[in-house]
Amino acid sequence: MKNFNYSDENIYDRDILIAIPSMVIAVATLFLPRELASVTIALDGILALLIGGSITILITWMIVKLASRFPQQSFLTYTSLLINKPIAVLLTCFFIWYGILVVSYEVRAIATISHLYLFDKTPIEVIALNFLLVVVYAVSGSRSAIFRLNALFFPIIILIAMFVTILSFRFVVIDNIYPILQTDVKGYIEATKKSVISLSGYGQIGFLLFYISLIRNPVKTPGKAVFGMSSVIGINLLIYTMCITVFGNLATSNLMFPTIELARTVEFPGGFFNRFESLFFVVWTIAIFTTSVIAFDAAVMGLQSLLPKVNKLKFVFFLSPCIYFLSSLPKHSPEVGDAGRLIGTYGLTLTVTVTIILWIIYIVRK
Amino acid sequence: MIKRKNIPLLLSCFLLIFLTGCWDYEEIEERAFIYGLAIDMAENHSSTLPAIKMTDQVIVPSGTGTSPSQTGGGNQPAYRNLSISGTSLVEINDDISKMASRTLFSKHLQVIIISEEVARQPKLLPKLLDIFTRGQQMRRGIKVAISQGDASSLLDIKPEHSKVPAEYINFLLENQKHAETIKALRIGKMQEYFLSELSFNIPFLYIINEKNIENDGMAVFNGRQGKMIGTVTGEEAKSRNLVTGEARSGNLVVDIGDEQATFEIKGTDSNFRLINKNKANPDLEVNIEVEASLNENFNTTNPKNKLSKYEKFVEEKVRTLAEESISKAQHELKTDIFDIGTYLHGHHYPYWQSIKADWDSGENIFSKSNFKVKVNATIKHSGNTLRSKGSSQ
Amino acid sequence: MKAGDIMKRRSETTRSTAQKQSNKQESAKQEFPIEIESSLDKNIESIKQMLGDPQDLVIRELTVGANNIKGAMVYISGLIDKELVNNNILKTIQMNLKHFDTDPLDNICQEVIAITDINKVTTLDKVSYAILSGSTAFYLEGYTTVLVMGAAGGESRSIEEPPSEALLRGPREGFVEKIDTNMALVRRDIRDPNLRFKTYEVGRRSKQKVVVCYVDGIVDPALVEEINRRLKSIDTDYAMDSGQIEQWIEDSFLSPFPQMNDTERPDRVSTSLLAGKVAILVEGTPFAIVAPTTIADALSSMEDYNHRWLTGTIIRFLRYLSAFIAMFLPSLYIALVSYHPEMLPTHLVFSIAASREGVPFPSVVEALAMAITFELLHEAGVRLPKLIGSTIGIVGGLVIGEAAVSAGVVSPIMVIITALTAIASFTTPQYSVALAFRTIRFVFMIAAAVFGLYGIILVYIMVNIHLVNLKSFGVPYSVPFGPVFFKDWKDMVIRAPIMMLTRRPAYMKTNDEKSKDKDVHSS
Repeated sequence: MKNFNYSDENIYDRDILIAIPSMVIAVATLFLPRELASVTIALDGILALLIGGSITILITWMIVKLASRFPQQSFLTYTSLLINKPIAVLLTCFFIWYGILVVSYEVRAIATISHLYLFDKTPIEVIALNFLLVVVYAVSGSRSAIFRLNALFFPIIILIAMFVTILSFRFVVIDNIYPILQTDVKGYIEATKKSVISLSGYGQIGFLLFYISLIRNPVKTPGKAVFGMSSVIGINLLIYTMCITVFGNLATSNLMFPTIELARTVEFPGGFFNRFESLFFVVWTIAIFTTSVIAFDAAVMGLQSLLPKVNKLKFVFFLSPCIYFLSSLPKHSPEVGDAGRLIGTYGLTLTVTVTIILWIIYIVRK
Repeated sequence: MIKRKNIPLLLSCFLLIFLTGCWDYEEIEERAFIYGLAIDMAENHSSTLPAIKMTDQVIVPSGTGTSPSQTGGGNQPAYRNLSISGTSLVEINDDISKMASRTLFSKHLQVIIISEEVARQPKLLPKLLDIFTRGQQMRRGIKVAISQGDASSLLDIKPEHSKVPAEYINFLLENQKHAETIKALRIGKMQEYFLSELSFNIPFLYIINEKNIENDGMAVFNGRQGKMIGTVTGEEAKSRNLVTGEARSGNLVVDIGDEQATFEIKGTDSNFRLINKNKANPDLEVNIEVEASLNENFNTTNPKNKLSKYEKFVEEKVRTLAEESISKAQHELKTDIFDIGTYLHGHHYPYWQSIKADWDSGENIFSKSNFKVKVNATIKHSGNTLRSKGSSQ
Repeated sequence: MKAGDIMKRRSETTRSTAQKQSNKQESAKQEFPIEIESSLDKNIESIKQMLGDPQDLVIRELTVGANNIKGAMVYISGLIDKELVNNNILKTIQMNLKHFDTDPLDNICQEVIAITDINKVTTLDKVSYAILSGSTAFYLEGYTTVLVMGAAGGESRSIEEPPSEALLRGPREGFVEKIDTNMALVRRDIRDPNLRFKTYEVGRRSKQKVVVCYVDGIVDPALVEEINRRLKSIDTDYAMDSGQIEQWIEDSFLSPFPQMNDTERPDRVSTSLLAGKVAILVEGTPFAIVAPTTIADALSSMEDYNHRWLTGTIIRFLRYLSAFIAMFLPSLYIALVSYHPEMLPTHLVFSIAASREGVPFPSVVEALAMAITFELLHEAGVRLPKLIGSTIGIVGGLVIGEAAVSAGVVSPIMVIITALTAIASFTTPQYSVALAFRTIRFVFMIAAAVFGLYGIILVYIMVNIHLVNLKSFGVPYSVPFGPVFFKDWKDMVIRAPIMMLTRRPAYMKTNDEKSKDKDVHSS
C-alpha cells in the first residue's frame, strides 16, 4: 500500500549540515575540556581548539568535496573507479569495522557514564543493552529517517548546551583566564592533536564519504558541511571556555567529565528543577545516540554496498550482537577511555589517509 | 519498518528488561536526606591515626511542617543527628547507615562544618574532603565552614525561625553580605585551592547562645602546609576585604578632626601590581578604590562642601586598616590571605612558577614582600541633612 | 533493495490479489444482469422480489396518455422528498401526458418532468440501486427502459456548530451527514472553478459515496493518484464513519498517531485544500478526513489564524507546553521522586517526602492508579447522557480530590499532577492526537518506573524514531522539524503575521507555491 514516495531515500544539503554535529558531538565533548586543560595553561586551549578546528574543517571540506564529485555513487563505486575494486572493498571493510567499533565504544561509554551519574545498582550490561536496542530500532528504519531524526534532535542538543552555558555565567571567575599564552609549543601541538581527534568525532566525519551519495545534487554540500563543522567548533569552544572560567584550569584537568560537572554546578534558583545535571546528561544521551546510529548505519551501508542482495535487516541483526559483545570487552572505565583513544586514532588515521590518497589519485587522473 | 515477525521478539526483549528492572528504584520517603554534616576529631584520636567523628544531620520530612495533612507535626523534630567515629568518612557513613532506618542520600547536602581542631591537623583536611569532590553523590556547590570548638554542637542548636539547624547555617553562610565576613566557600573552589596549593580563607562560625550562631571573621588556611593557621577576627576580616576589594557593605568609623563620622561602604575595588620581580623581597602595590556614603556625622560642619576633605580622611583610614591587615598576615599568620598567589599566577606566570614553592611557606617570600598601599576614596553622597543639630555656623 | 521496500512490495501484492478476487466476484455478479422486461406486472413482481417486498416500498400505479398505457412509480417512502415527487413527477405526468406521438419515455424525459436528475436504465440491479439510494423509478408497460428520477429527500440533520471542534472565533457551521450538503459547504468557501470533487463508491453492500476533494492546480497530482489507488483498495461491507475509511487507507496501522486529520469544520477543510492537501468526504458522517498531515498540524487550531499573530503564536506555544505536560508530567514525577530527588529544590523534596509519608503504594502504582482513574472518569463522562454526565464530574472530583487524599491512599501532590495532566490533555485541538498522547503517556510512566529519566529519554527517542519513519501519504510525519523546512516554520511552529504567510507549505510540493501576491500587501 505504500510504495509511494514523496520524499524518497534522498536527503538534502541541510541534512548534512545537521548530520555533522549530530555525529561528531558525543562522548568526546564531555571530556575534551579536561584533555585540553591538562596540556595547556589557563584558557590557552582556545588557540589549540581554533587551530584544530581549522584542520578539521579542512578535512571535512576535502571529504565532502571529493565525495560530491561523484554524485549518487557509493564509496565503493567511486573508489573502485579511482583505484581498483579489491582496494575499494578493503577500504570499505576498514570503514565497516570502524563503524562497528564506534558504536561499541559509544554504547559502552553511555553505559559507563550513566552508571556513574544516574544509576547505582543497575548493571552496566542492562543499560548498554537498552541503548543498543533503541539504536537498532532506529537503524532498522529507513536511512533518510535517520537524517530526519537528527534534525529533530539537533535543536535539543544545542538548546541544552546553551542552557548550561548561560546559567553557568553566574559562576564565572574572570581570574581563571589568566595567564594568557604561557603554554609552550609542545603543549599546543598536543592540545591541537587532541582537539582534532575530538572535533572530527574520532574520525567519524569519514562516514561522509558514504553519505554524500544520498544527496541528489551535492553542489552546495561542501559549504554546508563546513558550516556544520563550524557549529561543532562553536559548541566546543563555548563549553571549554565555560569549564575553564568556572573551574579554573587545574580543577578542569582533574575532573573526569568537566562538561557534566559544569551542568552539576549550575543551579537554577526558583525553578521546578533547580539542578539539572541528570537532565543534561539524559539529553546528552540523545547526542550520543545520534552518533551511534550514524556509525551503525554507516557500517550497514558499507555492508550493503559489498553485498547488495542481502536484506538490510539481516545486517542489522547480525551486527548488533557483535557490537554488544565488543562493548562488553573493557573491564573498567579507564579501559573504556583507552579504547576510545585507540579507536579515535584508528578512525582519524583511516579517514585522513583515505581522503588524501583519493584526492591525489583524483587529481593525477584528471 | 521492522519486520513484523520480529516484533514479538523485540517486545519480549524489552519486557524482559522491564520486568527485571527497577534496580535503583527508591521511594522518596524511604530516603534519608542529609542536609548538613559536621566533622570533628574523635575523642580518643592519636597522632598516628587521626580518628574522625562525623555527624550527619538527616531530615525527618514529616517534622518539617511542610505537609498540611500531617497533624501534630509541629512537635516532632525535623531532623535527627547521627554520629559515629572512624578513620575514613566513607566508612563512617557506612556505619551511620546502619543506624538510619532509611537509605542515606546526600545529593541535597548543603553545608559541611569542620571543627577548628580538624582543620589544624596538618594535611588532614584535603584528604578528608576528597570524598566530597570524588563521590558521585556530591556537588561542587556544598558550602564549607570552620567552627570554633565542636562542629557537631552547631548542629544541635535550636534556631528560632528554622526547624533545621543546618538550614539555618546554610542561609547564614549564603546570605551574609556583611563586611566582616567572607563570602561562602564552596567545596569545588576549595578543591581548586588544594590543587594549586594556594592559601585561602574559610568562613568561621561560633555559637553565641543555644539559639544563635554567628558568622564572623574567617579561618586562614595555608595551602602548602595543608592546615589551618589561625583565625582573623571580624574587624580584621573587613580590612582584608578592603584590600581584596571584596567589601560590598559595612561601615567605616573615621575620626574627622575631633569628632567622628561613620561612612557606609558602597563598594570597593582593588588590584595588585608587582613592581619588581625580586625573588627575595618583591615590591607589590595595592590600589584600593572605595566608594562610600556618609551615614552619621558628629561634626558640626556642613559636609557638603568639604567632601574632598572627608575623602582624604576616609583614604587615610582605609590605608591604615589595609596596612594593619597586611602586616598581620605577613608577620603573625605568615600566610597569603589576599589571594595574591592567584594574581601572580595569572599575570606573572614565569615569575610565579619560580617562587610558588616558597611563597607563603618555606622561605616565605610573602612575609618579606614590601607592600605599598594606595587608596582612592569617593564619597557618593552625604545624606539627606546638611548640618547636624546644634552646629554653629 | 531496501528491506522496507520489500516489505511494502509484499504487502502490496497480497493486497492486490485480494482486490482482484473481490473484483472477480463483482464482475461475476454483473456478467448476467437481469434485463427489464416489457411486461409491467412482471417488472414490478421482480423488483418486489428483489427487495423482499418491504413495507416502505411504495408502488403507485397510474395510466398515462390517451391510450391509457399502464405505468408505475416505485420508490421507498422514507428516502424521497414527498413534495418533490408529488408536485414535480406525479402531477406533471398526469397532467401533461395526455397526447404524445413519439416515444413516451423520451417525451417524459425531455419535456414533461420538472426534475433535473433523470436517467434511463435497463437492468434490474441498477433500478434497485437507484430506488435504494432515494430515486423514484418510473415503469411503463411495454417498455424495457426505466426512468430513474433523483428526488432524494427525507429527514436529515440541519447544519449545527461542530461539537468536537468548538471555536470562540470562527465560522460556526459544521459538516452534517448528507454528503451533498457537505460538498456545498466546501464550495461555498472556495469558489474556484478548479475545485474538484471526485466521487467513489465504497462498501460492497452499503455503496456509500466517498468524495475526494482537491483544488486542481495546487495539489500535487501524484497525491491524488495515490489516494485514488488506496480508496480503490478498500474492501468492506459498510463504513459507518470516515474513521474506518481512514484506517483502510492509512500508511501504518501500528502507529498510535493519526495519519490523517479528521475534522467537522468546513473551514479547516477549505484551508487544507488551499494548502495543497486533499480532503475526503464520506456519505453518512459529518467527519471529513484531510491528508496528508504532520505532527505540527496536530497542535494547531483554526482559531490561531483568526486571532492576531502574537496571541495566536503564544496560544500555540501554550499548546506545545500542554502537549509536553500531557505526555511527560506523570512519568517525570515518577522519575524524579523515585530516581532523581536531587533535581528537585530541596524544600520541595522535603514536602513531597512528607506528603508521601504514609501513602502505602509506591509512586508508580500511585501514579498509574490515578491516571487510570482519570481515564475511567473520562470514558464514563463521554458515555453518559449529558444530564447525568455532570454528576461524574462531582463524583470524580470528590473521589480523586478529597477522599483519596484524606484516606491516605494518594498524596496531594499526585492529585495536582493528575489534574494538571488531565487539563493539559484536553487542550489538544485534535481528539485523535490527544488520544495518542494519552496512550504514550502510559509507556513513559512504565519506562520512568524502570529506568528513571534514562528510561523516559529512551522511550522519547523511540517515539521520535517512530515519528520520522512514519509517513502520511508519503509526507514524513515529522515535517517541518525533520526534514527541516524553515520556510514552513512561520506557519507551522509559530504563527507569523498573516502578511508573511504567503507561501503554501513547501513540504507539500504544490504546483502553485504562492498563495498570495506579495505586491498586494506592500502597496
